Amino acid sequence: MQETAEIKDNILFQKIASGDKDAFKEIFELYSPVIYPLIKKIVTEEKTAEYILSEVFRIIWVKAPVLKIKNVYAWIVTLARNRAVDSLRRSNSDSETIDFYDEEYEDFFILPALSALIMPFGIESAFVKADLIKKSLEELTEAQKYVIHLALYEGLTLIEISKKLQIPVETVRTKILIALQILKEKISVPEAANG
Amino acid sequence: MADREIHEMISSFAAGCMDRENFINFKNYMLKGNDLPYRELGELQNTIALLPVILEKELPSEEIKNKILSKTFVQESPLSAEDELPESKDEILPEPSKEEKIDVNKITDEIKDEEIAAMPLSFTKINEQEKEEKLPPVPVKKSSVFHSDKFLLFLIPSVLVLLILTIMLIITSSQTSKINLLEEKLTGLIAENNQIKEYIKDNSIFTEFFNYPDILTLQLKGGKANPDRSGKIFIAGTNDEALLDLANIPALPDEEVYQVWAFIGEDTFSLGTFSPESGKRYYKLTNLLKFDIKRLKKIEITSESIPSSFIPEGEVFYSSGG
Repeated sequence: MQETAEIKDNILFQKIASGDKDAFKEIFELYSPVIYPLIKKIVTEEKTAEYILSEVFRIIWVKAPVLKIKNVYAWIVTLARNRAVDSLRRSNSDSETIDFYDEEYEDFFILPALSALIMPFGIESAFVKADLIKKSLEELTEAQKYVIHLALYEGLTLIEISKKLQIPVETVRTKILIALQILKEKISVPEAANG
Repeated sequence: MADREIHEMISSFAAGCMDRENFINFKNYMLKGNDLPYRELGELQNTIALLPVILEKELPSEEIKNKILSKTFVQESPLSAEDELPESKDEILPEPSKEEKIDVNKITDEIKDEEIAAMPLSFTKINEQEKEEKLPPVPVKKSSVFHSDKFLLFLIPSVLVLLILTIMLIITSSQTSKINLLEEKLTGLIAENNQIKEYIKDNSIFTEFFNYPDILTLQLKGGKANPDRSGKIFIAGTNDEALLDLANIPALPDEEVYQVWAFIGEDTFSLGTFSPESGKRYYKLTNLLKFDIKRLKKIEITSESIPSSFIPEGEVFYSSGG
């Protein structure tokens, strides 16, 4: 297994931190084919998806110098998901309960808080797992898949899923726990590779 | 806290579906470095982050890419202000000529040598004396106009006016770039707002549909031409309505519609037709033919010529499988 510092994505991220525009362009080329469809799946509207994509890369550019990221892949994908879901949730909220989007809000609610013990790997290693992930998802029950879908792509919280499916919150929690445990066992974390 | 509760909590955190209050409490707890199964949390976060790799890859257009890159590089650079300052300064201010440099230094030195109290009266004279004593003659500066009181009276206000104009120009250009940035953000917010309206309209159909009891959900997969596509059909327990969840369904020629088919036993029945609309995700089918849901083998969506077909003849776009 390779060290974090040897993974291409991490090297590029460190270069971005020192203002390297070419490294930033390379990260854009590497990651936009994954996060653009992810954002589009969440917010669906094309113009909003473009705006969210630009927001994600703005955050990467501005925050890279002040953050030490162990798994750049997981951080960027989670960041894109968080920003898109935040936009979706705002569009579903009434104005009285909406948070003001400022730097403080972004730091706490949008920037991913990854575990310090997360295993690092690069985007190319992630792509290698695509077929395995598809097969693993097929092994979940319809209900488990749907709950994961509602959480990941529709940005629903436990209570919202519970209300939508008319099942207790505890049941939703358990379904998510079991679904993720199954996926974790089947997929397992790819070996850190120069991806 | 019981083990299972902790595992459920970190699963919900990794899936990003914690309710706001629990999220705040959990994140603060985590940020303080309190005990948690961090290795497992990392594994779950990696698992969730891996799921989007199964989505169909899509690179944004060159136009979007260039727009984003140019917009991003306008943002505050990752470099510190100290690192960036010399470069920006060089870009804004032209390099002074050697002669100008000498002149500037010389004047600075001259001023340093003066007694502040005597400055208004003796400034010009002392300048002239020092130039004669210390400096080689410079043709332009020898002109009596340059060293006269009149010249200074003209020069000082002119320099002040130029200075004020330069400051105003810098402020104006800075304000213009800020306005441009705000305009771009506003455009994004307007796009988000438009999406709100579309979402509410679209989502209300979906939410209302779930008032039906015993809804049957079938996954739809793309046909041979579009194997990566997917969708869902929800059939109400009362069997008279169905809802299709089909994001980004391809457009059809004007003379064609999508037709939904139910394969029941050995027979095939049409459940209805619909025309795709850009940005629309949910399509409702009403007044369905009553059928025994237990005998339902599969659902297919085909493209058919208008008005519709009696049997599926066109290309299969989606199917729930056998």
